Amino acid sequence: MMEKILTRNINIENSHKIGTYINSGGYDALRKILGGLSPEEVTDIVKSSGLRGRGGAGFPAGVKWGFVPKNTGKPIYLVCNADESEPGTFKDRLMLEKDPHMMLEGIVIASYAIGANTAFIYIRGEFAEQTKLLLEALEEMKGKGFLGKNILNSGYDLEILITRGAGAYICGEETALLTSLEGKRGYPKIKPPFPAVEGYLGSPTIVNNVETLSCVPHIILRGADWFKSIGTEKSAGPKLFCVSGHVRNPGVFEFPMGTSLKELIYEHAGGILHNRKLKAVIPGGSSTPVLTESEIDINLDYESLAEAGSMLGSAGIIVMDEYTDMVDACYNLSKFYAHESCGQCTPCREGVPWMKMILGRITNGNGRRNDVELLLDICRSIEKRTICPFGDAAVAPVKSYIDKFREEFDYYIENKKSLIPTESEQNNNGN
Amino acid sequence: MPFIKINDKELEVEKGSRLLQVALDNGVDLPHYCYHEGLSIAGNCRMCCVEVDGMPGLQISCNVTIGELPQDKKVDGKYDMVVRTESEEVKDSRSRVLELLLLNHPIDCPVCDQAGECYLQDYSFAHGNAHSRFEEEKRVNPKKQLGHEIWIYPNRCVLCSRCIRFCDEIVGDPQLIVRNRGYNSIIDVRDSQPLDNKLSGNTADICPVGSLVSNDFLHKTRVWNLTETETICKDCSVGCNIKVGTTKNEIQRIKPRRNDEVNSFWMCDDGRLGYHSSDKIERIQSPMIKEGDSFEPVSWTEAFESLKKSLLGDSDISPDNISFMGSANCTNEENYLIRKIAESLSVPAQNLCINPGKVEGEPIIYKSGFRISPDKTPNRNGAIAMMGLKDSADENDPFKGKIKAVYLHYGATSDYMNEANLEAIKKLDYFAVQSAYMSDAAKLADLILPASIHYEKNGTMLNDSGRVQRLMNVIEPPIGVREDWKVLSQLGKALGCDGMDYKTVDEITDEIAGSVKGFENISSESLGSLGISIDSKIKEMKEVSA
Repeated sequence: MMEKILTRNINIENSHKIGTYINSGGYDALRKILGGLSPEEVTDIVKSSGLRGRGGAGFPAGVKWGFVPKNTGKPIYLVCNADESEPGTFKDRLMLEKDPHMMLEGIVIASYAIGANTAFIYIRGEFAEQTKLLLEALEEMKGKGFLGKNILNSGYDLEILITRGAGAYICGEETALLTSLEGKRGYPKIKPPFPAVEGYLGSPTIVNNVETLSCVPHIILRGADWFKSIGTEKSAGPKLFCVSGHVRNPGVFEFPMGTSLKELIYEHAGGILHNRKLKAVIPGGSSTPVLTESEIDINLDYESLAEAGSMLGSAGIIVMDEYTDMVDACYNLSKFYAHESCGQCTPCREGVPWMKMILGRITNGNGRRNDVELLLDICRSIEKRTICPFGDAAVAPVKSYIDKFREEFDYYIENKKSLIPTESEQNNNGN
Repeated sequence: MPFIKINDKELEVEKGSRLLQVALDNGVDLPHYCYHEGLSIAGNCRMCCVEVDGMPGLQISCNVTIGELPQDKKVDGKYDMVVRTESEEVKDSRSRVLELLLLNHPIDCPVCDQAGECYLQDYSFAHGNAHSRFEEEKRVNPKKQLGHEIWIYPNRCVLCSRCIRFCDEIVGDPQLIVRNRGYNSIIDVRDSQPLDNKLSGNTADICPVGSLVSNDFLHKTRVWNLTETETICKDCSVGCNIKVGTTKNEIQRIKPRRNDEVNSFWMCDDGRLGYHSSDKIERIQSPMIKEGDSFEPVSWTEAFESLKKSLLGDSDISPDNISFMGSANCTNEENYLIRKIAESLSVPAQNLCINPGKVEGEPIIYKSGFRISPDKTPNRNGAIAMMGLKDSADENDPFKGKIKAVYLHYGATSDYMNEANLEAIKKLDYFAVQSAYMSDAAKLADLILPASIHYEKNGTMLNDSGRVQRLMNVIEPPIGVREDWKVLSQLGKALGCDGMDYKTVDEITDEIAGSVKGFENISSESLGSLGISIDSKIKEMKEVSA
C-alpha cells in the first residue's frame, strides 16, 4: 500500500484546519521557497517533477508556467480551477472539504513562481459549503502570515480572491472560466492567444486544477525526483481516482499513476454490486470514450488510456454493470451535453442537441433504420470543429457507445425496446 | 514579407495579416459568417475552415495570422504558408456547417428581405446540400422589434454575434446580448431596453442572414429590384459614403459604403433615414412670383426676366447693396456659380455669404471613433471655399447693414432661419429664393425658383475633415424642377454673365480646379468613389493667410 500524500489527513478530525495541516508539515514548502528559491528555480523543480495537469488535459504544469511572458508590464494572474463539474468527478471537492490548505499552499507557491500577486479561486457555484470553508481557510492563512502583504517577511505579496461560478459546466474549460471570471458570459475563447499570454483581462494567466496545485507543496518539499519515482515514467505522482456507479464501495481513492483499473474496481472499490458482471467503464469522466469489460485490464495513466483509445481525463471512473442499458446511458449523457453546450460554435450548438433528439427518439421506440449512421455522421460534423474541446467531449460517448455496443442500438431501433431486460423482467427471470 | 500559396495562387502578404482577409482580398472566395473586417474575431461560425500545411485538422482562416518561417522551415523551400481552400475535406466541412445552420432555419426566403443578398442563400447554393436530414421538430421563436429601426427574426439567426460585437466594439454600448444558452440561444436586447443607439441600423447591414432586418425597409421591395448608386450622405458634415437603393425614381433604402478615411463601414440612423425629410415637404414645381398675398406660377423665362428687372433695373438697388447667399447644403459647383454670377455683376466680396444651415447638439464620438457632427450641413467648408469666405459661415451677414436685395440658395429640406433673420428679410426691398419647398424664407420671397434636393444632384462636396467627395444623383427631380447647377447657369446667362455655357456639372468641377485654391487636383475622374483629401492644402493656405 502506497503512502497517502494528498489524502494523508482526510480521516483526521478537523483535517481542514490550518493547525492540522501545519502539524503534518504544511506550509514548510512555502517557507522553503521564500527562504531562498527563485521563481525560476521553483518552476524548474515543478518542470522536472513531471507533474501534469490533473484537470483532464494532462499538460505538464511546469511547462505551462514557463509560458508566461516576462516584462510585459501587465499584471500576471494565477487561477485555481475549482469548477469541478465533469460527471463522475468529485476529487477536488474532497480536497476542498478535507484539506484546503494543501491547495492554498500550492496556489501561493505557483503564484510566486509565475510572478503573480493576485490569485483567483474559481469555485463551482454549487460548492457553497466548500466556499465557506475556503473563506475561513484564507483567514487562517492571513493570521499566520502566509497570505497578504510581505508573506513571511519575504517581500512577496499575494492576494487570493474567490469567485463562485453560476452553474455552467463549460466554465470548467479554462478560457470560458476566464471570460466568466471577467464578468462576461462563460464563452470559451479562440486560441491563440493562449491564456498564459493573454488571459484574464488580457493579462498573462495560468490556470491550474485543485489537485495539480495540491501536488506542488510536496514536490517542493520532497523534490522532483521523489515525485517522479511515483507512478509511471510519463505520468508521475499520486493520483486521486473517483469511482462511482455500480460498485460496492464508491469513493475517492489515492494511488500512484499507473494503478490497474481492474484492481481499483475489484479490490479497492469492492467489486460490482449484487455480484453482477461488469459491462463497461468510463475511465476519465463522462466525456471520455467508454471501455468494455474486456478492456479494463489496463493501467490508469495518460499513455495507457490514450493507447486504448480513451483518456485518463479527470479520473472520474464510472462503472456500469451488465444490466445497464447503453442506449439509455448514451441518451442520458447526450441530454447533459445538449443542455451544457454554450451555443457559441455552430457544430456544437446545433449538432449536439440534434444527437440528443435522435437518441431520445430511439429510446422512445421511434428509432429509424439509418439513425445510427446519422448519429455517427453528426459526430463527424462536430468533432474537432469547435473553439473548445466541448464538442469533442460531447461526441466521445456517442461514438464509443455505438462503436462498442452497436447491437444494443440496432436492437432498440428494430424492436422498439431495449435489449436489456428491465428490473422487473430481471426479477422474473430470476424466479 | 511572407510568401504564401493559396491553392495555386502565390502571394506576397503583409506580416501579421489574417489568412481569411488575404484570401478575400485576392479573389479567393472563402465563405464566412462571423468574420467582419471591422470587428474582432469570434471564430464561432466555422464556415471559413481551410487546410494549412503543418497545422492539424482544419483551421478557421479568420484566426490564422500569417508570419514568416525561418529559411530551413519554409514549405517546399520557399513558402511561409501553404493553404488549400477547395480540398475535399474543406468542402465536406462547409456542407456540414451549412446543414447544421439550416437545421432550424424556416427557409422563408420568399418573404425574407435578405433574400438576394443572403450569405445563407448564396453559400447553400454554392456549397450546401439539397436536402436536410433533420426530421425533428424545428426550434421556433417569434419575431420581435428590438428598436426603432431593427427587427429580429430569430429563426433565421446563425448566432454569428456580429451584431453583438458591433454594439460592444463600435458603439461602445453593449445593448445586444445572447439570451439563454446553447441550442436555445437567442439574440436579444439587454435588460429589455430598446436598441436605441444611433448606429443601430448597421446591425441589419452586417447581419449575414435575414435575422436582423431594417424596419424602414421591411417588405418594401425585393433587393434585386433596386438600382444602387454610390453617393454621399446629406445629414451632417462628416460626409459618410453611402449607396442608395432606388426603384422607379423612389429611394427605398440607404446603406453605408466603406471608406476608411471617413466612415469605415458604418453610418448613423439619422443619415440612413434622412431621405424621409423630403417626404414631409411639398415640392415647389414651378417658378413663382409674389402677387399681393399669394404666389403666381410663371415660366422660367418670366422668372429670370423678373429677377433681372428687380436686380438691375431698380434705381434703389445696386451691386453694393445686393447680397448673394450660397448654401452649406449645396454642392461646390452651385456655390461656385453663385459667386461667379455675383462677381460678374460687380457685387463686392463682402456681400457674399452662405446660409447658416442647421447646427444642433453636441458632437457624438463613438468607441470606434465614428462621428456624428452637430453641423447638419454636408458642405459647409466647400461652400465657404467657393464663396471665397475666410472660414466662418457667419461672415458677411446680409441681414445687417445696407443690403436691400438678397438672392438666397436655401438648400435644406427643413426650416432653419431664426426669427431675427426672418424679421430682417421682411425689411428687404427684394428677396429671391431658390428653394425645394415653401420654407420659412420662401414664404417671404418676391421670387421663388424651384430647387432640386440632395439626392437629385450631381457635383462635389468638401467634408469637415477636408475631403472632397462626389455626389451622384440617385433620383431625378420631379416635373418642373431642374438640377440646381442648370438653374444657376441659366440664371447667370439671363443676367448677362459670360462663361455660363456648361454642358455637364463636371465642366464646373474642372473650372473650380483651375480657379479655387486647394482644389487644383480635383476632377470627377480623380475623385473616384472615395474622394480626395485636400486637408493639408487647406491648412497650408490658412497658415499662409494668417
